[in-house]
Amino acid sequence: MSDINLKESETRATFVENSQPKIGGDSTNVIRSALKKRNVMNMDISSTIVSSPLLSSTPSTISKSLVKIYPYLILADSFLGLVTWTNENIWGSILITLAYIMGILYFQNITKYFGHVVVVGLLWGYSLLHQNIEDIMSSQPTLDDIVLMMDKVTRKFDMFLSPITILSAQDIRRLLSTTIFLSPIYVVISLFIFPPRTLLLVGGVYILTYQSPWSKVTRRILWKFKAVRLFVFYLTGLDLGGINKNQGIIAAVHKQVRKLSSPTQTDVSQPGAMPNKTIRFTYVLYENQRRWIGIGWTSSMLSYERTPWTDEFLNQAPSPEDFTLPEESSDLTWKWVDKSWRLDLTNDGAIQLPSSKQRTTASPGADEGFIYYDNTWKKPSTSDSFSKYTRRRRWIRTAELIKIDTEANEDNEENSIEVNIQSIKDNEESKSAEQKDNDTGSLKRNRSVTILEEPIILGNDVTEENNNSTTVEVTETSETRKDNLRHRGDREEDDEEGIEGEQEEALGFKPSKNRSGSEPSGKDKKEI
Amino acid sequence: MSTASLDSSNAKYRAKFIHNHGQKPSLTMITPSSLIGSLYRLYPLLIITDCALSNLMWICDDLCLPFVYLVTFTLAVNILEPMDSIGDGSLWRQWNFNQVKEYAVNTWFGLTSVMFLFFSFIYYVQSVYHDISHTEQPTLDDIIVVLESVLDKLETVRKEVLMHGLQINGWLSLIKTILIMTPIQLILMKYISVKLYTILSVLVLGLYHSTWFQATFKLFWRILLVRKFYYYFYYIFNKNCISKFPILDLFDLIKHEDLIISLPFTKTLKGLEDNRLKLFIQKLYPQDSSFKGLTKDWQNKNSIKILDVKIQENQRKWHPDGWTSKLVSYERSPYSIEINNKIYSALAPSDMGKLIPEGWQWLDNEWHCTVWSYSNTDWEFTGLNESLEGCTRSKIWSRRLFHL
Repeated sequence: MSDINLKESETRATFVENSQPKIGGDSTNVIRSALKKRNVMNMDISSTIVSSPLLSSTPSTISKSLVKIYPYLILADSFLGLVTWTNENIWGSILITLAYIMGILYFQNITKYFGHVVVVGLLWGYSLLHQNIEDIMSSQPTLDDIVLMMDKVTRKFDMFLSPITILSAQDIRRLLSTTIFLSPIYVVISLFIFPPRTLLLVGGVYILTYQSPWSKVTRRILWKFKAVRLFVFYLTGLDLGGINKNQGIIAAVHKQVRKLSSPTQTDVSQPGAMPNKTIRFTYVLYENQRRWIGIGWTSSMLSYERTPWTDEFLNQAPSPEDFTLPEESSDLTWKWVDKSWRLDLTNDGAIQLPSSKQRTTASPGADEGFIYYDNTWKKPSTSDSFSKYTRRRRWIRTAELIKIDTEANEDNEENSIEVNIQSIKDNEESKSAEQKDNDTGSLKRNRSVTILEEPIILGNDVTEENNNSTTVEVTETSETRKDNLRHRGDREEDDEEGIEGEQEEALGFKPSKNRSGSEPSGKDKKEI
Repeated sequence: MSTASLDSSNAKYRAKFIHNHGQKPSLTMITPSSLIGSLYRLYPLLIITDCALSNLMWICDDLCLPFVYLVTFTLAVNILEPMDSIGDGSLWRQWNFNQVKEYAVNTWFGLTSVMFLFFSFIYYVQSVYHDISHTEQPTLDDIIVVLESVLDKLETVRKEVLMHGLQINGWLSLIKTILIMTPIQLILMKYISVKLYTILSVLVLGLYHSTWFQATFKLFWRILLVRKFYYYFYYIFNKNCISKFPILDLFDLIKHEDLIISLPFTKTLKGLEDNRLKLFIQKLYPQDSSFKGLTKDWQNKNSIKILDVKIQENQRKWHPDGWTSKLVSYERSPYSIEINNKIYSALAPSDMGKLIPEGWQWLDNEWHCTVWSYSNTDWEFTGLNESLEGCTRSKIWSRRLFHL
């Protein structure tokens, strides 16, 4: 017992001696131990970095470059945040816009008196930026931070470029040619009305504020005016939606189908028989070309005229490679009957062919089957001459609408009819089916500028519902049921959007539902 | 039979050969999928940045492109030209056909250039997105290669911009720089127009990172006169950086409070005489021990003052002679001492010991020196071994004095 006590006291005594700081006497030991402790503490700090599971499974080459790119990602994030107005504080974006306006308006004076200040300031800012980068590098970010930041930057970048990425290469070429074509007008405008600097100012402010909420609302309101739409159409040469939307080739087909499938429109003597028939359509595309002096025939058209590919009503249509069959609701699907698009060598009966020759071909020559027109698409003739500047030819391909459900398959063979949406003149083919000739006639008369509620290009929420509300007419019970189904589908999509928005919020975004919905639906619409 | 076996052996051999070709296994298999996804989504941004940087540095495949961009940029400056005559209508009051024609041509060029730049950007972005989605998907290795190329370029740009201490440290030097440049700016603006000034700055900006510009820059930098001129201005902004005169000796050093460390004068030391005391202190504080954190704790009368003299010996590598202590006139002296981040000239260690202030004694018997540490031309540490960029080196001589 006493032994144990003794031992305890001994150990405790030595312990106390070591840790108690004594000034004088054995101060060296004290100092040394203090120094040692300090070292140990430093080492502790550096060795207690928790390694993330991501780090251990990532190859070191990747993680090294990722660590290096991290500060730049942060910079890109804050910059894109400013441009896309998604930073938590939008005053930065407002300030940048104001600075831009000031810079353009007072460019002369600023350069004259403060040019050097700007240069030195930029250099200084740049060096500050790199000090900042080094600080971030030394702050030891985890790989998870980096991945999170990467996603954030990508989202903002995609958002920033969303108005560009929905354009196709052809659109941009058209835009460029239109702008160059109109540039003398711009020069005249700048001579008489306002200097080009104002153009630069307006353009720059438009780009900078493109994603701001006010700008979105303003665009949406302005887009409701038909004049604005037409103005934009003539300015850019692009059909940005809303000009000819509801009269494209597929819309026409939709109408046909609906008319045929709804019992009210069809023959009353055969109730219920029509939906079971196989419906055939001949899709018709016109290829338009214009001759440019020095270049020859190309598919680049002027901005105000028809597009390179149109349907017979001169509405914009996709080229044969991009042409996809429309998706019907629920139990109907489209299927091609012809293997490929075939050129109509008679060009809708306009060109006389010897009876021995085939009327269509799948692989025509570059100049085959054209009808030539003058500069304004008048005076058609079958031969090319100096006064002819435009030409067009006709491609056709037949498809059929099939019912998927089993009941319909039993008796669809016998009742198949051929439907042909044709142009103005009747030819032999269309005469064979008398009934739909009336339909095509009514279709033609239906051509009018219809206006959708929402534009595509503006990046607003173009929801499917609007689409439906314009295209779907209320008919009999079966149709309405389908509509209900469709709307339910939309609602589900909305829910998904909501979830996405929440995720974005978690990532530090402002919840902007507009964006998440706009791009894909915009694409969808474009295909139509 | 025999051919078949030959074939199979061939196949084996080839398989092995390819496997051991010195290539690492593909990164795709060993990287977490979440990371791959993020990197893939980042790919367009990386490509666009890479392209922009290579245009800026004039190292893209087609050198015509940056040239065209530069020309269009200079033409675009036309737009910013003031047309006061339009604003107040004087252009129409005194109709001058030549003036109008010139103005119209300028405007047309300016507008078309701006449009061209804008559309080429849009077209490029569009084609990048189109290619990524329509052609073969990039492998992870592709993405990493682009990522590294972007990093490389950013680093090069940084080095070229912030070369030779071009950076401005703090508000004071910023204001100084602006003040010095103001008269230059005012004189310049008297002789050239704003338009020319803008065009010149656009040209410098566009050409700065090109190889030709940088090569010319480096050639000029080799001329000693240029460097002297540069450093003359440099020291105006960074006064407390290097002081060549006076050359410090021990008498100057003991005046610097920052160098002197006070240690407790403990009881055990009290009865000791000169030589034994010295030995005892040596034993307590070996030469390589650090005094950090001790200076302020025992500042009373009963203290030992210790002066740790650390003299840097500096050398520079000259092409025919190798390492000599001959240095360029604008930089530090062959022997220097650093006090509060400011570098003073100092006596050589051999001369230091000749005169010792009264009351002070050498604590160490001799000068202790470290190995050479190599640094680049701006005396930034590069390593302990000689390397290509290490054209200066220095080592530290240290010896301590004490005073009771």
